[in-house]
Amino acid sequence: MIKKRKNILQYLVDFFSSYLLCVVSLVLLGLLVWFSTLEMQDIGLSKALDKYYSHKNFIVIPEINGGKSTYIPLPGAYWVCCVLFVNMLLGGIIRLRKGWRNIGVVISHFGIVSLLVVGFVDHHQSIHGKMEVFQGETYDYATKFDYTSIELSEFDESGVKQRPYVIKHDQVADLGDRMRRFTFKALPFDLEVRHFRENVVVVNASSRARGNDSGEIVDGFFLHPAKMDPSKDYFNYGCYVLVKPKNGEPSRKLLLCRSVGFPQTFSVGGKLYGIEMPNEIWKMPFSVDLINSVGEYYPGTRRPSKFQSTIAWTGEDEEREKVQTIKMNHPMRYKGFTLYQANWNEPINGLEFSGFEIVTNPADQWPKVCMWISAIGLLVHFSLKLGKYLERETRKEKGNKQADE
Amino acid sequence: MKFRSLRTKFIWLSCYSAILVCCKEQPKEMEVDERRELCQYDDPNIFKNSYETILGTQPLSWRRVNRTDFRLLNYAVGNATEVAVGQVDGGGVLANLNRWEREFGQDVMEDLSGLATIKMFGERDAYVIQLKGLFQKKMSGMPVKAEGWAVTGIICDIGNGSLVTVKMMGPEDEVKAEQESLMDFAKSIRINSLQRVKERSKKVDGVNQSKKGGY
Repeated sequence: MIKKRKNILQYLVDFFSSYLLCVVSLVLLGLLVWFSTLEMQDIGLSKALDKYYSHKNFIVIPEINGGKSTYIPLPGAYWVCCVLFVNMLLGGIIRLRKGWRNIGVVISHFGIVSLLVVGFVDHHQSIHGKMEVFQGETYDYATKFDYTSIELSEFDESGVKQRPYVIKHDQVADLGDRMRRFTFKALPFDLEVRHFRENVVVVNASSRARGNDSGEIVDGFFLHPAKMDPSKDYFNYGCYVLVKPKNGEPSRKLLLCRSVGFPQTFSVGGKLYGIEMPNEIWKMPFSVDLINSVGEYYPGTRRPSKFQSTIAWTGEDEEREKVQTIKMNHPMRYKGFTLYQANWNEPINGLEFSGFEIVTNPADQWPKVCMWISAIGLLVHFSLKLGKYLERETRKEKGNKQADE
Repeated sequence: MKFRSLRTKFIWLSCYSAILVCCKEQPKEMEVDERRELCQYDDPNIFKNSYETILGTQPLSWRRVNRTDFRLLNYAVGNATEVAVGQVDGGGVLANLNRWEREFGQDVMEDLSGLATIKMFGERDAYVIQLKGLFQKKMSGMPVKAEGWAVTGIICDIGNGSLVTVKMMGPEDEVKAEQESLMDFAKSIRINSLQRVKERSKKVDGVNQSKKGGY
């Protein structure tokens, strides 16, 4: 018999639908989860997630035990999941022999493939933010996790802030010691941003406690790069900015840092401007008033056993405010936004406080559906197996009885 | 043979693409046109940080800088002028004012009579002192000297032996130009634990408006 030669497409389909590829992908995912869990203790949760699970990283080299490299290059988890998706689609659904015997397996594989799709949607479309509320104030904004921004606003003659221009995280995060110029059509100056750092300490130049690697000193202070405390998972972003007026006025150097918390002001052409570096501000379609917040710790520890908040909130399309209690696993949902109780502190300066995590994710409820699909598939499959087994046993018994007779 | 050459081409193409992606040059200049809508974050009266024990309405021409030891609020003004707000427990108003006198080589005062006053924290008297000349002091162990400098200092006794100090120091011409802003700022200072916002921030036409300018 002459063996038909396969073309490249057939080789690719065979390769991507093979059991071997599936096993290798699952082993790699197991390794990535293990290493990311170990490294998370050194670099913090968000950095670990970004390093191991982001689509931007093709290759990951784990570093454990305080930053020691393992010299083991692994593919990024996102790309392993892509390969697993193709493998399960081709091998687990398309090429699988269809029939009543395998219907349960096909259904559960479909559920798992859908779960991978949910993961991709979550990765690319979901946004996470944080809303910190103090009693007695109304809040209608959150700040995005680990996304800094540089905001530039003009103040009118009565000192009221105008809508700010926003330079986003992706436009400065790759800078390091380099400089990038930002231009604004309607403004009489340009901005040069340099020496961007993920985590800094603002140091008084007269103290000489730490070295100044950039050589810049602004208003008697400079930025010193600092190692992030992984337990706090807080990035204190910082950079230097040079304001360059287009009308020939002298340039102005400013120091921006997340911890300053207020705009640095300067004037150009007789108008006043402010520039600051908050985490990206995210306007919400609702406003929140904290009525009270309650928390408890496990006895003798600082581990919270429960905390909950009662809020009064008003949606932008609503006329009346609603009162709702938010606690762990009981979030508030409104127009695709989900508000989770994330953290709590005891009252400070007499003011009650509560921290919420805001998530917007089009695939928010899909994992539940996918798990149900997989569960139904497994139920069908094992029910059929059980039925076959019982039928076989019954036939065997009948056969034995007939033989005895 | 055809398959091998195809496979080889595919591998080379993948490597070339990877190199291109890795060596992509980052832009040196970008135009910014994105603006966001105003929200409560932009209201200068909104309470964002409970660790600030003292708040004040910052004049727009001042720049807020990082807090340091003994300075709860820290501002830079002009080219070389600083404004610092501190809280001192003990010593008394006269002793602290005399400390500033000595920094400028002036004679110490016997009492507070003759000093100008303003109202802070509602109805409490705050004493104002204005000095100029040669400033001499040791800061962080290093001697500091500055000719032609001036200081405007304000001290208010807030009770229980606690004093709030507001001190503007720098070149004489800069300090003189900021007197009115300094007085307005001092009068706006409040302590968090004693004052809570009782009514919600005012919204006008859907945009939050501060009651007066500045932060």
